[in-house]
This record gives sequence, C-alpha cells and structure tokens, in this order.
Amino acid sequence: MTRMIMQFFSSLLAAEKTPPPRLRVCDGFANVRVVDQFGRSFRFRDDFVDGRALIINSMYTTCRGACPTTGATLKKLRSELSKVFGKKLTLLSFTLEPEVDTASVLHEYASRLDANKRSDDLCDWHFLTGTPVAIKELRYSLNFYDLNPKVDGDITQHDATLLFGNSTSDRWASLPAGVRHENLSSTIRRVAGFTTEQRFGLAAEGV
Amino acid sequence: MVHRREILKGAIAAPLVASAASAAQIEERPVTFKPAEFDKKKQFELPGWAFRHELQIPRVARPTAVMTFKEWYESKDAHVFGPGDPVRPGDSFHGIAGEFMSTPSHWSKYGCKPSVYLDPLASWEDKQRNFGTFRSEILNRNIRNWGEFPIKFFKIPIRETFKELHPDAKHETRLYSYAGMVPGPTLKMRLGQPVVVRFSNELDTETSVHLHGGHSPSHSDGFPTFYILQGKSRDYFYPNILPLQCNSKLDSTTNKELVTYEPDIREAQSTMWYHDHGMDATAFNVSKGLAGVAPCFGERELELIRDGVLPGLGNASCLDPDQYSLSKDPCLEDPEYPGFYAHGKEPYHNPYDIPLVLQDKVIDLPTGQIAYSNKGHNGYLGDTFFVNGVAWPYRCVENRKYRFRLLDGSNARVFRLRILSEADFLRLSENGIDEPGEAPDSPEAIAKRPDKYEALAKPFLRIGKDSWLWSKAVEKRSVVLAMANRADVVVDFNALVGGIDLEPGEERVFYLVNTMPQTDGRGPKEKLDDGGDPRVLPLPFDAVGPDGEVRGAESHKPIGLLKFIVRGPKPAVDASIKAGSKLIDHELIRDDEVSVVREFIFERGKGAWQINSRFYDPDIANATPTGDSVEEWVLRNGGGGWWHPIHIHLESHQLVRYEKDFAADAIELPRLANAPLPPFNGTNVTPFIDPTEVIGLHDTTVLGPNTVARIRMRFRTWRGPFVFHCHNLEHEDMRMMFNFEPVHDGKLPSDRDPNVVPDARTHGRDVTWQGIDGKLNRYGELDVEHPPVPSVPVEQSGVLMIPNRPVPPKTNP
Repeated sequence: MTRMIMQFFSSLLAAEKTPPPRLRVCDGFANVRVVDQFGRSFRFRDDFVDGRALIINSMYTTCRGACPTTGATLKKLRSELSKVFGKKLTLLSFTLEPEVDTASVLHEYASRLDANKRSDDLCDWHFLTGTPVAIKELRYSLNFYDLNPKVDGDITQHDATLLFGNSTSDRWASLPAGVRHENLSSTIRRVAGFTTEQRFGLAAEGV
Repeated sequence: MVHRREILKGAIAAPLVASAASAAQIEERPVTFKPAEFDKKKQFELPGWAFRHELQIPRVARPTAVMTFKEWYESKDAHVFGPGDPVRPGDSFHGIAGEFMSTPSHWSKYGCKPSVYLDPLASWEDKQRNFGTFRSEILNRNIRNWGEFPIKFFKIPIRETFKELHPDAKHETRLYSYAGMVPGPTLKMRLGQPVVVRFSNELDTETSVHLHGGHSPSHSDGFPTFYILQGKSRDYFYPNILPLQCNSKLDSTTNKELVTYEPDIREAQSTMWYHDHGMDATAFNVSKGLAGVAPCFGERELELIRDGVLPGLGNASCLDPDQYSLSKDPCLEDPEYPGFYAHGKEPYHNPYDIPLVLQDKVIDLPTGQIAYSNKGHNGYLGDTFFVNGVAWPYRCVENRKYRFRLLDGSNARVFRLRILSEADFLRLSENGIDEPGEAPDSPEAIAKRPDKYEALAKPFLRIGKDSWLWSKAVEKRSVVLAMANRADVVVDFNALVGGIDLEPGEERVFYLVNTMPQTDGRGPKEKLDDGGDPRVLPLPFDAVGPDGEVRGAESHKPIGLLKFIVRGPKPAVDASIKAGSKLIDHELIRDDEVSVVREFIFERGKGAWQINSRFYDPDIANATPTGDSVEEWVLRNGGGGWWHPIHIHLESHQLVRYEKDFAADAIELPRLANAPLPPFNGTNVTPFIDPTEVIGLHDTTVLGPNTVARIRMRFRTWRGPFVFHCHNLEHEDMRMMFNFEPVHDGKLPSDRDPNVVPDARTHGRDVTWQGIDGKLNRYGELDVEHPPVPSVPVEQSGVLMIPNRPVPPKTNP
C-alpha cells in the first residue's frame, strides 16, 4: 500500500510541466446579454454555463410548427430530470423572434408551460430574448443555423433540436426533440449527467 | 528497464495528475473571449515552418501475450493482458463476445455443434474444425480459417494525452488517445490469427471502438451504445476470419442440393482502421484523436509482398517475431516505449509500406487546443492539415516504389489527392491554376481546371479501396477520398525523377496535395465564395466522361499536405507491380443472387439528419436481412447539397450502379422539411467510373449531391445488431444512422414484428459473455450500464410502433 502511495506521488512529480489549459466547447458559446421572462438580465456564458447541466432550444411564441411539441417535451423532461439533477440542471429556450417576443410575451408563453413562477421541485427554465444581433450571435454560436440562407432566413424552418451537456465534463450533444422520449431522456442523462448515478442510475423511478 | 506494469500504472495516474492541476488553474476568460474558428482562406496558406517536421509513422503495439486458446484457458494464472492485470478475458466489466467462448446456434449450418457451449475449449476446437481452410502459399499448406495461429492479446488504455500539435501554439494540445498516441498505435493483424484487445477507458466520456472494415462480432463492432463506460474495460474480440460463402449445387447422382460453406478469400481485408464510435459524441472524440490504423495481412497479400510484386523486403516482410508465442528477444521492444516494437522489429516489417492518416483541425493558438464546433451539425472542417498527427510534415524517401495506405480520418473533409513536382506546386501555390487574365471562379476557368491539373499531376498506381485490394493495379493521377475511405496506392519515385540515379547530395521534391475545393461541412463545391449556394457539382469518383464533362471540380490553388524528398540511387531490384498487375480477383454479385431490395433516403430535416424520415433509435432494428442472403440497397441522397459517405458495418459491399441527376444540381431552391422528394432523373455515370473500382469492394460509398447508388452486399457469420450510417461524423451523431440485424435462425416467429428484433432492443444482452456462474454461462451486460429496457406501450411509441416485450432472461437456458 505504502509503495502504491509512493508511486502515485512520484508520478505526480514526474509531470514536470503544468498541463495545458482547457478549451471547452462551451467556451465558444456567445457571451451576449439576454433577458429572461421575468425581465432579469444575464450574460449568457458567464451566468448560465459554468457548473451546470443545460438543455437549450430555440423557439418563438407564435410558432405553429415544431415549438408546441418541443415545449411539451421540455416540460416533461423538466419534471423528470429535476428529480435526477435537482437545481444543477437549467433549461434555456431562446426566441428566434426577439422583436416580437419581449420578456412579457415570453412570460405569458412560459405560463402555459408552468415556467412562470419559481418552483422548489423543478429546475430553472429561462425563456430568453435580447437584441436581434445578440440573438443571432447566440444562435450561430450554439449551432442553431442552416448553411442555406433561404432556410436559415425562414423562421418556420427553424431547428427542432435540443442542445444539452454540462460544462464540467464539457460533453455536448444535440438531438432532434422528436426522437422517442425514453431515448431522449436517457441520452440527456448520459451526456449531461455529472455523476454515474445521474448518467446511468435508477434513482428516478418512472423516468 | 521500465517494466510494463509501471507503464500501466503511469497510464492510470496520468489523468489524475491532469485533473488535479487543471482544477487549480481555472482561467478567467474575458467577456469577449472567442475560440478560433475555421478560416477558409487560411487553408491555402502554409506557415513558414510547413514541411520542416518529419512525418511520424505510428508505433506498432506489441501483444501482452500470444498463446493458444487451450493454453490460456487451462492456465488459471495466465495474465494475458500483462502482469499488472489479473482479470481474465471476459471477466472485464463489459465482457467479451459470446462467440469467443461459445457457439451460436446458427453456426450449426457450418457443421458446428452449438451444444458444446458450456465447454469453451471444446467449442473453440469445434469452430477451428468447421470454419474451413484456405491455401497459404507462404507456408505452403492449407491453414485453418478460425484460429490457425495462437491468439494475440493486447491491452490499450484510452486516455487523455498532451502533445505539441502546432509550433505557433502557446501550449501543448489536450488530446484523447489510444495508449497515449495520436494517431493510435498500429495494430498489425493476420488472417487466421485471432486478436483480443482489452480497451480500458480512462476518459470522462463513454467510448466504443469500431474496427472499420473488419468482419467482427456485434459485441466487438463498436455498436454506438455498446460502450466502454468511464473507468471500465471491454474485451474486443477480432477473430480475423474470412466469412464463409454458401455454395449450393445439385448432386447429379442423388439429385439433391448440396450446400457447402467455403472461406471467401476475396474478402481478405488489408487496410482497416479503428476509431471511436460512441453514441452522440463520435465526432468530438475522433477530432480529439481517437483513431488508428490496423492493417491485416492475408495470404494472397503476403504472397504478393514475398514475390516482390508489392513494395517490401520480400520474405522478411512476411515474418512476425511473435507469431506463435511472445518472443523473449529483448531487442524487439523499444526501451523508451515498452509495449511497442522498436522500429524495424515489428511484425511484417516493411519500410516501403506507409500509412498516411489525413486529418484537418482548427487549432486555437493562444490556448493550443483543438477548437471543436459541429458547425451547425454540417460537419467540422479544419484549416490546419495533419498527416499522422503532424501538421504539414515531410518524409525522406528512397528513389524507388512505395506503398501508401491513405486514410481520410477527418470529420467532414473530402480530399482529391494528387502528386505534384516541387516546381509545379510552388508555382500553383503562388499563382493558382487559372490563367492570369481569367476572372476568378468563372465557370470557364473552373471547367478548365481538371484537365490542367491532370496534365501536371504525377501518375501512380492505385491498388485498392477501403479494406480490400483491387483485382488489378490501375494507373491514376488523382484519388478522391471521402471521410473514412482508404486508398491503397503505389508511387514509383524513381519513375517520377525520370528513372535516374540521384547523386549524393542531390534530391528531388514532390508534394502530396489536395485540390478539392471545400469551405463548409456540406461537401466540396466549385466556388469558394458562393454565398451559401447549395449547388455542388463534382462527382465523388475519379470519373471521366467521354467529353470530360463529369469530371469533378478542383480548386484554384492546391493545398499542400506532405512533402516527399527523394534521394539516392535507384534500387537494383524494385517491386514489380505495374498497371494491370493481378492482385485479388473479384466478381460482381449476380442479379439472380439478390433476394431483397431496400431503399434508404438520407436527408436533412428540422436541423438534424434522418434516414427515411426517421431519426436513429438504437433500440430498434430498421432492417433484418436473412443470413447468407444477398440484398441490393438503393442509397439516395435526399438533396440540399450535402455529401454523405455511407458506411455499412459487418461486410463489404459492391457498387452496382451510380446515378446522378445533373439537372437537379442547377436547381438552387432548397427542399423544405416535409416537402415531397422531387422526381429523380438520374444519368447512369457508372460507365465513367473505373470498372476496377466498381467491381472492387467498398465499406463506405459516398453519395454526392443528387445521386443514387445501388449497392449489393451479403450478411454472413454474425448476428447483429450492426449499424450503417453517414460517415460525416457530425451527421452520424445527429442520428443519420440505422440498425440492421442479420437473422440467421430461419423465420421469425409469426407474433413478432419483422422490423424489430429483440436482440437489438436489449443492447446486446445476449451477445456479451460475462464468465461462468456456477454451471451456466452468464450473458448480458451489467444492470448498472443498461437499466432494464423500458416497457413502451404501443400508444406512446408513436410512428415506431414498438410492441411491448418482456425483458429477456439474463442467463441462457
């Protein structure tokens, strides 16, 4: 045992150079000023990214395509995954129509998804708006865009995907919100989980 | 002398050191901090230090043990994964393939006795008897297909490593690596010699290792959810067998059908590679370094090397010092790198056979790190080009023939490779290929480029694609290499220098260049600045039409990748290969062998990727081909201008027909999600593709824009699940993937949905062997990894309609 400890410390000493810095995928997320449905102002990267598991999607309140279903999916995920992650998880839905979707419009929209008030049992869910320039920068940095300007410019063709991960392990993945729910839920746990229990455990029965 | 045990301990300690130190230095990033991004102009600019670093050849891993199945099975204390690892094969967390220890019931058609599954040794010897034999010219006798040579055991940790990737970067780069190397250590294999590799995962991410181009059991094939979890190990079993080909003929005396199974020698693999295949994270993991080459040597290839047809040292390149047992020779290992062969001592040592892994990355110079972004799920492109993990290297070569095994190991980059002389390369890098007066990127200028490049480029021989050698060597001046494709080529440097001896001090220089214009993950395109125009014209083959009209697009300036410096006199004897030299015979699968035709449409929808309008679900089988049958798959690109290299696991496939709708290229409007697929007016371009390439075998067929490929393949030996997917890794992670599940045991029960096979739903519970519990073989993965399969009521399962099914028992009856 003593020998093993000695070996461990000698291997520590053997690493002469300081290890190189990390460059996380989430360091590329735009650090733009955004406002949530309660009118609170945030810097996206500084305030949301560090130390948390995130699920991010794009939406707009008047969407009649994918958003209603995605919203319902997120609501379900929120109630399921809050049991697994507690407050370590944050849901972020940013609008693609910041001109229309002001904080109060988002508040009204959030109320339909039970995200208009603080809850002890559920993780935070912010609906974010900002200046059109900031939102576009955010959208591109989170890879919610299409290379074809015609598709990219057509708001009804927007991505129905969820971006999720956590900044500690810096594992990020995206999935279409339309994949089978059990699959989606277990993938988010596996990729965004901090602990083995969160990733693979059976803690949250009924998930 | 460092003991291997210390090395393994060091390997375990290394990540701890890394995390402890990095936790101490949490860097404050400025509010406006932005990592480096892909710069399309930079890809044509070479730094001042380009071609000053020597090309590295990945070291060859040495087995930790070489012993027969009987030897390790009967010895209770054989530490086959090194003295520091007492855990026996199959007792690791993720176990070993069931086929290693027992015999699946469907192998009774080969004459095997599945009843012997409780006696692994009897089962092994039974398989040795019944998997056939084939002729070895090297050994001058017939050798057994299954386990002719003793098993080689390897142990490879998957862990973080630091390495200087870019001289201008301020820090070393953090990489994911196999055994601390990027690319990973070369695994040299031989047909008839089974290999067991214990990959142990020391990363903070799930991994799954895919031996690309191999014919391996499902458990060891890198199925995306057959993980190696954090801190766990999986014993990958690569039997290195030829699939058994079913031949039936009518016996004239008894008038009965005689069915025989013979090893299919056409299927002998040559250039395989291994890389990460973990669910949702393959692209990130591979871009961080998880890839390596694994050449396999078959008897015919060794014969070609021994006889001096392929470049090599003749018979000396056909020897393996550890073929039958681990050699005691102390000189075999490099004292500085225990566990690896010293240069020149590795099996099948061949200084004239060089793997070249081509990759592109974005390096963030202030931090020195790889800046990864999936770029809108289109594909990660880099502006810094690496060959074997070295940015823009050079290689001194002798004045003779060399074999290069080219691999496109990048995430989304398609290459068109050519060899240019130094004068041409320097001139074109400066001035470009267009005439000085021509408008940049004008259609006229673009149309003239391929012919101009073709006239300048140096000829070489192409001898194979993907894992397999072609039927004959073909002279080429360019190679189109899509993601995951391999090209086996022979370059005669003596011919390139004009057949002369070079005096001492005299040298000639040639460059390997890429002329494929590409600026985003969609794929190559003619113009660099087209404002997002989805029209993409080039064809993904070296196709030349009667008027040259279907030749691909090429860029104004070439991108230099690798510099060859040729020195020395010409050799007294050189490899005899020339255009037309016979290699391995192939024959097209006949029309009457095809029993099923399936169509798969690869398209984009709602910001993600789909096949047949479905997202990948790892728990269902999307195709259930009958074992030993031949199917024809119609692979259609659903449009939008993307290139999709389609990789099918398990077996090679043949290209039957390749069609392209040229008119559709000119239609600029994107197809919106849920819009019906437009009619396809394809032109058959197969006649323009080299017939040797058409008849040769493929494991990845690239679908250019507006194309349809018809391929044929067989489904032999293994039960599934296996996957097929787009090998643009970002597309793959975004669910452009399907499962197929070969069914060998005859018809499915009538109460079962033919599109859902239980094996695929249970994450391989019955493909993994987990040791013997009392008197029963334990099968399946541990519960902590895969919680019980959720019961999905049909009403909730949406379009997939998965019938509810009980969880299968963990032990075999």
